[in-house]
Amino acid sequence: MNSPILAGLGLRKNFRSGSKDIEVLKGIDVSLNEGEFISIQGESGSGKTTLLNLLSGLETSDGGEINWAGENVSKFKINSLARKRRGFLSLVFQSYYLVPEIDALANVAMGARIAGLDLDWRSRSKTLMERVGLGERLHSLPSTLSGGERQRVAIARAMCANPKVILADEPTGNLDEGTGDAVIDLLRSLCSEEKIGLVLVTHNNAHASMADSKYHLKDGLLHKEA
Amino acid sequence: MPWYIYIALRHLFPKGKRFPFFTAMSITGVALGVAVLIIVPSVFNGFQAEIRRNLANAYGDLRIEGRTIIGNHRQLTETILAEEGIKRAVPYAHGMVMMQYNDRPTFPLVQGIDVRSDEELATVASHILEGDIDDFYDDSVIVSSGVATALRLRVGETAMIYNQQLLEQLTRDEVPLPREVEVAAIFETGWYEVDENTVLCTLRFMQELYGLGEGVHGIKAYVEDGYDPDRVANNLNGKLDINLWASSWRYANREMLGILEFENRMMFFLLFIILIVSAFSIMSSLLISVIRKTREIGVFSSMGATASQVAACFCLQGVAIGIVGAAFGFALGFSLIGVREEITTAISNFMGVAESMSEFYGFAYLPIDVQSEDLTRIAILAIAISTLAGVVPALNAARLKPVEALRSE
Ligand SMILES: Nc1ncnc2c1ncn2[C@@H]1O[C@H](COP(=O)(O)OP(=O)(O)OP(=O)(O)O)[C@@H](O)[C@H]1O
Ligand SMILES: [Mg+2]
Repeated sequence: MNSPILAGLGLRKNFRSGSKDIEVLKGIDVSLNEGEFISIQGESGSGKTTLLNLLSGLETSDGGEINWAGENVSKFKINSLARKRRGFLSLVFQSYYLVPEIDALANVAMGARIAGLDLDWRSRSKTLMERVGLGERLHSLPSTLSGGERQRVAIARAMCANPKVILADEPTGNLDEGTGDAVIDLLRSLCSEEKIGLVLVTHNNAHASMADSKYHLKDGLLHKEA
Repeated sequence: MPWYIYIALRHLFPKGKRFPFFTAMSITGVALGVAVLIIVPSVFNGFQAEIRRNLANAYGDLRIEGRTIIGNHRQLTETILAEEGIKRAVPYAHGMVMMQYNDRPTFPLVQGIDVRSDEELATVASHILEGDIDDFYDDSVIVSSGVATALRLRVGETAMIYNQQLLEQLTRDEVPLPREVEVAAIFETGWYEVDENTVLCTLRFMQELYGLGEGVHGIKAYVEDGYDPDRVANNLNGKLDINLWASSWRYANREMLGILEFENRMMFFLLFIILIVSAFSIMSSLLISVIRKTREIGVFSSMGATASQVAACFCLQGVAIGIVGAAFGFALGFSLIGVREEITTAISNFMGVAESMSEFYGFAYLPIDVQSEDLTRIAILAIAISTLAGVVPALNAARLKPVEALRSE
């Protein structure tokens, strides 16, 4: 078997709360192969977002090792991690986080522009807008889009950076069931078409069960479910 | 275009929003500061250039004076004319007399004009309001508009002039016989100090009036274009008799000129504070923007933006405000300068101060002198200050940790 595109080994994370430390993650092992889809469930406050932040290099761990495409990036500084993320890893958030001053198409293009990809971000962002079903809404401002449409734009933006991995933190958390299902379908199909590894954090059992592997985070440890 | 420039511009001028309030306020602040920095010094420079021109005109480029009356002025004039850079030299005599008309007296300064000098006559002729320079001969005078008004004198009428000796006779209870002079013309230069109280007569008449014989009080000299009056005066001083000295108009008025220069610098400095104030308003609106966009900044970092790119994004907003503000400020400044006559007329009509303007400043109109080095300096200052105003918010944005930025509510 070839080496995983993304892996965490013995990840630990503590937070100070007042005078005492709380151990949120107590040694997590997780790995994602190219094009693989895994889901993570867990109670609120169990540390799912914290785990994603460690894997994406937004936050430093208190122990353990993170591998991106086989390279240990645990000791990298914030700025070099930012550069490394370009064209490797994209994030999708619960609250979309689109830039309100620019239209949908320009938001999608930001993915490629910040990643500094030498590809033609104009045509790429347009194609992606069409692929997420918003070919008619290219020049709509985020404020004029529905929640589901905004999340589609955010997914297109994540895709536009041409990543190997997408980490999605409750992307359907703000959406109704039908819209949420459609968004997850879209995310899954795009990732499998492009061979992008997907880590999906969700509270929705049906969505979690679509994954190749299904994990549960509890008491700071990650359990694989059958 | 790099993404951070694009986002900087879009933050300032969001798509689909016609009037971005914060941006408009920041730009207005810079524009007003720049406009004021353009207008006020230009008006000041205009006044000062006018004052300098008047000082130079009244004095001549340089004057050669002596300890006593200069008797051999013809020979001295030759010597002066032989000096390199001297264009022409004319003798003069001046003094104060009493002038009377219909029992109204006044004490004007009398200047003796060398009527053999065409240039002198031409200068006088260019300021004549009424009358004719051709009627100017040894028993006639040309009075300034102020003297004419004070004595209610008109061209062609005859006034009395008492010189010093006549006045002394008066104190000894003798009856003096004044000189009768006819008013050949009335002049006005636009400079209050001259227009208020000056009478011009021929040099010969002046010599007679003051009992100078063939003597004069001094020689006025003018330099050719490109020659520095101070230099020429220096060179002359090396050659002149020990009892004679040459001084340039600048040297003679050095205190006045020094005050003007100091005034200029102080004013620029004070006005500059307006720009600093506007910089603070830029800084505060950008700081608010950084706070409002904290999560956006977090998303940018998560997409691979480095701290310096995030900083550039906010710093460039300061730069853009500076550039646009300076451009608007230039436009505003020059348009206001363009309609200055209308503005001053409106203001003086409103406050009824048209008179005092010419009284205090010596000019009836608003002179303007826009200096190009000043303009470059203002543009650079405005942009530099706005950029500096962007630095603090930029550093704040760059210091944000991606996770914390994303977690912020
Ligand atoms: N910066 C922080 N400082 C202190 N405690 C923190 C910090 N970030 C997270 N925590 C704590 O870590 C725990 C895990 O938080 P996390 O956001 O990862 O949970 P989660 O599983 O994503 O929850 P949810 O499903 O509600 O999003 C929580 O108890 C939270 O209070
Ligand atoms: Mg969470």
